[in-house]
Amino acid sequence: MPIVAKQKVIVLDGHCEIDAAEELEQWLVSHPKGQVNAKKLVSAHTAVLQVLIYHRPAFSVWPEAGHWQWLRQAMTNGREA
Amino acid sequence: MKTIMIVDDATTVRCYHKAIVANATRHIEEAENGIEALEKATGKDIDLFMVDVNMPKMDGYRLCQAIRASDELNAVPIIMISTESETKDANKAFSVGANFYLNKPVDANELSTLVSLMLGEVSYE
Amino acid sequence: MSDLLHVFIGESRENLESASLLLEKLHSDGYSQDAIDNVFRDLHTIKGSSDLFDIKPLTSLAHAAEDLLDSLRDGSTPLNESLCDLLLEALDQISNWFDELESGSENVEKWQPISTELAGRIRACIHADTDDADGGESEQAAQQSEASSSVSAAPTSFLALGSQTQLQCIEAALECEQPLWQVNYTPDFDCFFRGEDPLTVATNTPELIAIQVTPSKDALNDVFQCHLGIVVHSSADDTAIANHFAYYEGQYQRESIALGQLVSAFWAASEEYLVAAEQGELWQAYLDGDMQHSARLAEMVGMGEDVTPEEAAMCRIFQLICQSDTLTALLESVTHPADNDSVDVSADTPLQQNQANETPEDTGVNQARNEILSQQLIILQSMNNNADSPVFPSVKRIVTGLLGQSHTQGASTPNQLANAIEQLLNATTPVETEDAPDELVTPVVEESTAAPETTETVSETAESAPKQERQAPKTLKVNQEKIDYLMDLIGELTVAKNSLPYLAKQAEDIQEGRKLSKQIKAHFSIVNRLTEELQSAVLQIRMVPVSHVFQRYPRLVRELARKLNKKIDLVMQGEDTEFDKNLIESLSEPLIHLLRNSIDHGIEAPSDRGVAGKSETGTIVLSAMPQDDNVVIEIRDDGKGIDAEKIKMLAYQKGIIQEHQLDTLTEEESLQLIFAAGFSTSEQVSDLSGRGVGMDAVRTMVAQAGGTIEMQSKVGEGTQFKLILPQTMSVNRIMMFEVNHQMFGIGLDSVVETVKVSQRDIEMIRNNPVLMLREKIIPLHCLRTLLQLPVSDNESDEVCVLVVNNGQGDFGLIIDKFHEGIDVIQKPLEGVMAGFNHFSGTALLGDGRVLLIINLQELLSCR
Repeated sequence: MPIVAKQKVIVLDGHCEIDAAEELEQWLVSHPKGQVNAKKLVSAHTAVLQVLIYHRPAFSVWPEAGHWQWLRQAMTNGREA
Repeated sequence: MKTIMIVDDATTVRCYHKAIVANATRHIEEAENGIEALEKATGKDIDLFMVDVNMPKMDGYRLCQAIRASDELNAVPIIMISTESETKDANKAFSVGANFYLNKPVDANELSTLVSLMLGEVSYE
Repeated sequence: MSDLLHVFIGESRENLESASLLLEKLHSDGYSQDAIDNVFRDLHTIKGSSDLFDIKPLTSLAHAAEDLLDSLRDGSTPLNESLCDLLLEALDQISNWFDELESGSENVEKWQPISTELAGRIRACIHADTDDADGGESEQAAQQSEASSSVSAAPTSFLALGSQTQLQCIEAALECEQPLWQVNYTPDFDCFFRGEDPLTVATNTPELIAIQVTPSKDALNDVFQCHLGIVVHSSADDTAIANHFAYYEGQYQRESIALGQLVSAFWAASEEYLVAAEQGELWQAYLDGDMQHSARLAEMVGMGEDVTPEEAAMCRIFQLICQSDTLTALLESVTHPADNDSVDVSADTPLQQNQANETPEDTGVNQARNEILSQQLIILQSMNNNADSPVFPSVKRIVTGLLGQSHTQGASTPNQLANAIEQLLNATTPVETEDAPDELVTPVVEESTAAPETTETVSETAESAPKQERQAPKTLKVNQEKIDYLMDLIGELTVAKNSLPYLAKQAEDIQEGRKLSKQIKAHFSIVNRLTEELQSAVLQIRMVPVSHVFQRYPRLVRELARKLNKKIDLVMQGEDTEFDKNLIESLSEPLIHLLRNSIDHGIEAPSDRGVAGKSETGTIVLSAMPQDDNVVIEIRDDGKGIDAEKIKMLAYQKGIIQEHQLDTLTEEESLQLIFAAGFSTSEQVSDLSGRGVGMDAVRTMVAQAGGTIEMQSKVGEGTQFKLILPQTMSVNRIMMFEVNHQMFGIGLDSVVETVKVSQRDIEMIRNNPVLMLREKIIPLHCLRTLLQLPVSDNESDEVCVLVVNNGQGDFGLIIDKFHEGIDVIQKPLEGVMAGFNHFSGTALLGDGRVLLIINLQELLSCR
């Protein structure tokens, strides 16, 4: 399962399709202090990433794969950390 | 032998300009619009472009951009010739890569001198 | 230069024609953006070209029309029928002036009042849309002042990028030599529903350097809508990027970013921080020129504890700048743009020595040279010392050409080249360069803002051009000369193939030649077939529908009818009938003449028609119909017809016929008299048909096109003209015959039969020889006599008679010998021979002999 919701963490794994966006958003809304574990995230549909960019949750683990630098920048873009 | 390409959609104007600049040491190419100009220019050694602004299919500004973006034609001088005489039009011409801007109707002597100079035929070594 | 006038009139007539047709369409069908744009363009061309000649009234009139069309096309003046008529009137006037120019009878002074009046009427129709004009102008002014207030020339979107992105870009730009591309990608909010995944596309951009993604709203209400702004930087080339984003056209823009722009954007964002860093020590080191120290300090600051990633990036960039000459120079030009003004004018430069020695003739050239150099200088200054600027190579080339290699050899950057120029221009130049910044900024800003749309559309056109080739109806625009040349070649091929039978025959006579002869004959039939097919294929190319010529007529008829206060309806039929392009154009004049006759003399005034029990509106039917190998064009009117008696009387009065013929001529024959030379029925020469062109001229024109004309008329009912024309200037089947050892030809379709009779079979009726053939009386003509050839020395009793039909009956031609029928391409007589009407053309025989082809009609009328 690409998206697995746990108690305090939601895990994004492998390839996340567009339908994961809805679940992710609902989880983030209902878990304001929740964190994202994106350790094994490989790719995700824009909709999913858009949710992250808008909600700016805390990340418990950043993606291992190197190509997500831009996402980190996007998470803080315009709103200095 | 230098090659000048004259680009204008009016036959009369092309004829007029050709009559002014043609001579035994120059070969003249003609085109009616930007697309035709680019087609005819490929594979040839063009030494100067004389480009009208208002043309169908591809106007003078876009032709200039295409010339400047082309590896082959990039260094060729471009004289832009237009009916518009305002500064903003000249500026636009320069912003797309023209080297000189003339108003129509063109003075024959002025054009003749200009072309000689642009072709490097009058040097001051 | 009179050649130029000729070209101008030729081209402008085409413009007039195209504009007229479109205006007609606008008149009947109403507004069409396309049509208006094209009419505008036609008039614009005429106006522009006419400016080369001393014909100001014409130019002013064209200008007025152009202005009206401009306001029509932008919608500020509404279109209506009377505007169309007014414009058509202007076109007519211009056309008349062209006529005068062509005949050399122009009186330009007389044109002036006409031009003023008509232009005045046209301009009065233009709705001034002053609000828009003002709005547009102030908008532009605002944009320009905005632009000039910012010193940096970077696109504003770049300025909004984070320093980290800037860093990545600058690092990449330093490494690769290509300009960077910045793609501003704003996906449509509903793009997910189209199956698009923008971020994946963005992250997969070839040679990706950096991506910056920004939410475009404050909050996300619908997870399945896309509200993101994506900026991508790549060092790939234009084509690669265009291809990558091909599907997303309309959602993105791309612009090229020069290193200089990166630096100036960086400085705009970082200046404050860096100047203040380390209590100003960092900046001081830089100003002192101590680059190493400055770089070390920057590194240190960047590694500090409280430093944000952005600030760290700024420091890193600054470090890079200090370590790179290129970047330092770029920063210099951003921080101190005034430095370019320092001019080192050395009085000893060779150039100025040259100037001291210049002769009066040189001043014009010098002035022009300085103008060019000044302009190149301005262009150079707008490059921000970026040697990769697309226009740098051409400027360098021009300047090198003007100043000489030695002065420009070392100049590898715009600033260096600019200095070279400034050194050699005179001392007054600095004043110009100080003013330059305003000009500097505007063109460059325009370049960067213009670039995204225009570069995109340039590649769009490049892309769509091939697409158009795939989709458009398969037509080619071909120069008519090429087709004519092709026709000539085929003509020669036809002749060449004809010599094969001769060769075959000769081969037969040689010993053992029979086999060869057979082979030649076999091949001949193949070549023959191929040639015929080739010929008809090429001729097909020249076929156009007659509507090509017919479409001018409704307007003509309307105009003439209006001028004569008659009501006339022109009905056209068979406009799709195809015809050889050359032929149909040569027919235009006779057809117009016939139409004018109909309108002028044929159709009666509405009141007269009423009295005669006809409807007030007369009808002219113009039809074209294929018939075997011919096309039959008919002009039929329901007018008052031609009175044969009247014609007879007039002909007698003019001495065309003799008194006794008044009784002997049938009605049919009397009517045919109108075709006689010197005949004109119009007692008053109206300005419409009174150009002195009589029906005989019409008939000649038709004959020259290879056709014949017939006329029928009934008093009170109407007149009908029938033109029978060969559909193509094609291969003619010719029957050859011999007279006085000379070969002649006659169209095979005129030949009824060939007979050999004895002298006794010829009888005389009223001094005219005739032949009794199967109960028919065939008047005979001796071709020797007709062609004024010497009397025959032939004693034989046998007489060869070629029975022919000229459309009016059978006749017999006495000739010497019959020969076979052949295919030839008939060429018209030219030069000295052109005046001989009794020959319709020549053809080349296979053995090189020239065949004169008889024009039967003409021949018979020379008695």
